[in-house]
Amino acid sequence: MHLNTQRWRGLWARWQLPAWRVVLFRTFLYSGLWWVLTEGAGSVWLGVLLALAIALFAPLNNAPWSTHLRWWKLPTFIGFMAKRSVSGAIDVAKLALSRHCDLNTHTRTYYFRLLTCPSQQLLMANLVNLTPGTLTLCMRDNTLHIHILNHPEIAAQLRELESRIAELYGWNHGY
Amino acid sequence: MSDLLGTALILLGLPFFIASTVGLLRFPDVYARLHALTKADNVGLGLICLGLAVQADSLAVGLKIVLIWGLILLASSTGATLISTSALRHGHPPQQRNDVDKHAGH
Repeated sequence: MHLNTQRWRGLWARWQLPAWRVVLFRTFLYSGLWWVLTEGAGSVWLGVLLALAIALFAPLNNAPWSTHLRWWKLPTFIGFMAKRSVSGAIDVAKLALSRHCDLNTHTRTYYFRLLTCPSQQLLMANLVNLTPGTLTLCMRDNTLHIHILNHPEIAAQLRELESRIAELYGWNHGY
Repeated sequence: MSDLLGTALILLGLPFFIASTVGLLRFPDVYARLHALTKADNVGLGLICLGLAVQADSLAVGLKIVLIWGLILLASSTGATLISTSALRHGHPPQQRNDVDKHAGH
């Protein structure tokens, strides 16, 4: 009990009021989520109050969707990922249903060039799993260990993905 | 019209699910099988969710179905890396195969 009280005091001491624009955006986002989850039938005031409480107190400072994220670039990025994801799914489906099921598998280490923040690297590690022929085996020391299925050259594909994620955070680099 | 579009999307999603299951049975190791699960399964599920969202009674229900797909996509992608990291730690190195080149020129 004493430990719990100390823990809460420690958390309260570390708490800082987020910027008003961040609070406003998060409240709007979580209220929208409340509306979707209750299928539009829940109490609006309860939803807004809950959203405000989460916006003020949830420790989201380390999340990949930080204040640096360029939200207006998201639709283009989602379109890019959807195209890649469908292409990857068609490749795997063709391979699984082919008569011989000839596999060419190997592993490769990819070194991050642009993404330095661990949360952004984690985002790329997740997205690599949705792109054609690649699967993240593990992530350590600024590198991704990747399993490759029937895609001999994936370096350019991974560099492009990293550049696209970097663009989302406002760094413009060619690929 | 929405019923027709919804049915078409669901029918389009089914082959991906079937291919993913066949891949799970035919691929040789856990890593190759995860390729089938993370790619074909997610696209299949996405098409089915879109098909259901198109036929939903209200916008909130449609968005809820799309949200469910997004969360499953996130969980599936993260889970795949966690499974492969765990498999590596437990001493299952990925197979290095080159069946494609072996058959080239035949």
